[in-house]
Amino acid sequence: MISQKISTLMEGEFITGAEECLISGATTDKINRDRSLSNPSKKSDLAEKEGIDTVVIILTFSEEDALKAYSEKSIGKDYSVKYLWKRLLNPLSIVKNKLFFQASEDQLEFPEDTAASMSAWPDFCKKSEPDRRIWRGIFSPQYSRKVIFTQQVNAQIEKLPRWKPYITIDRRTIDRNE
Amino acid sequence: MNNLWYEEVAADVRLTQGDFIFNCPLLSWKDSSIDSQIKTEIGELKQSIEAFYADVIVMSQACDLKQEKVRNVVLCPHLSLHEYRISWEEAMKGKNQNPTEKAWKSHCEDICDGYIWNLSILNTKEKGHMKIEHRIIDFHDIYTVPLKFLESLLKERGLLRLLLLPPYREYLSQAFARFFMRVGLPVPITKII
Repeated sequence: MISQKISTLMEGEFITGAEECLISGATTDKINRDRSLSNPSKKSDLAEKEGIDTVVIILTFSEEDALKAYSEKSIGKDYSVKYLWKRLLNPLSIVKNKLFFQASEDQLEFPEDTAASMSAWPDFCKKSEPDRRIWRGIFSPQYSRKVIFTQQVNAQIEKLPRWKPYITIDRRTIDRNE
Repeated sequence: MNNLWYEEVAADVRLTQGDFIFNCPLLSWKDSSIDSQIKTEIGELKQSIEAFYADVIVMSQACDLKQEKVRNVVLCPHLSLHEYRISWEEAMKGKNQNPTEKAWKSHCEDICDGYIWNLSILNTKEKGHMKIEHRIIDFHDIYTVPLKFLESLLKERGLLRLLLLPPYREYLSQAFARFFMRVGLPVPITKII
């Protein structure tokens, strides 16, 4: 069913029966996230309209933006985009300026910060890594302690014995004294 | 530039690296074999708990304490030079060595120069409310005490605290690290004539 719809699109016609979600106003500087997809009512609209549990989401972007996004990526500029949906078609298909993503109904409840890539080569868009600066080399999980017993100790500090160092006299000291 | 070794801080200032805690109560296991007369292991362990007190210094990193990345504070004991000398003389006599003034001076120089890995020496403080003589820190013994316990104890005491300032506290931290990372070469480097 979906492949038929895509082939229809490839011929220059829009898919009928599938919701087209445009990431509008997207440029290479910013990506507007269509938060309506995380809106439950919107989600049910999609499901009802489709009657299937799979939605095809189509992104439209300008070729210029896509090329710019890729070139910036290649010089190390990281878009830090999460790419959660399986790409339906090779982006280098003949369908101009459109990217197809297939998402199941479950996947529509994606996190708020998910964005779709503006790049024509989404394979190059990496999943963002956790920021290591938060940890700065220290990771402190909560270890559960196996308590053998708990005992109340009543003590007055002034009556407690005082710590004494354990001093070892080494050969160097002995040799020096001789 | 402020080259001071120490600062005096109020009791309600949060604990940090380099904080001196005098007469800190500590718990440990007794330095003896457990009593096998006691029937249960738990019973044996209960009898082996020992409480004592010591002057300690906070070794945990300042950033770890500030960001609450640690629940327990690492502490090392320290003594005044005078107290340390008493123990040193006892140890010398125990090895049939004569604890002369010259030997003592050489020993102190060795500590200052870093030849005695487990010990570090901190400067005297002669001005201000809290005065101290030189302090000897011993890295052989390390204690950990819960941060909450320690902070509540200090708050309860309500006393001024002494704080070792940077870069002297980092110098101490470096000496601490060196003690644990030292390597004794099985075949030393031959003397260069």
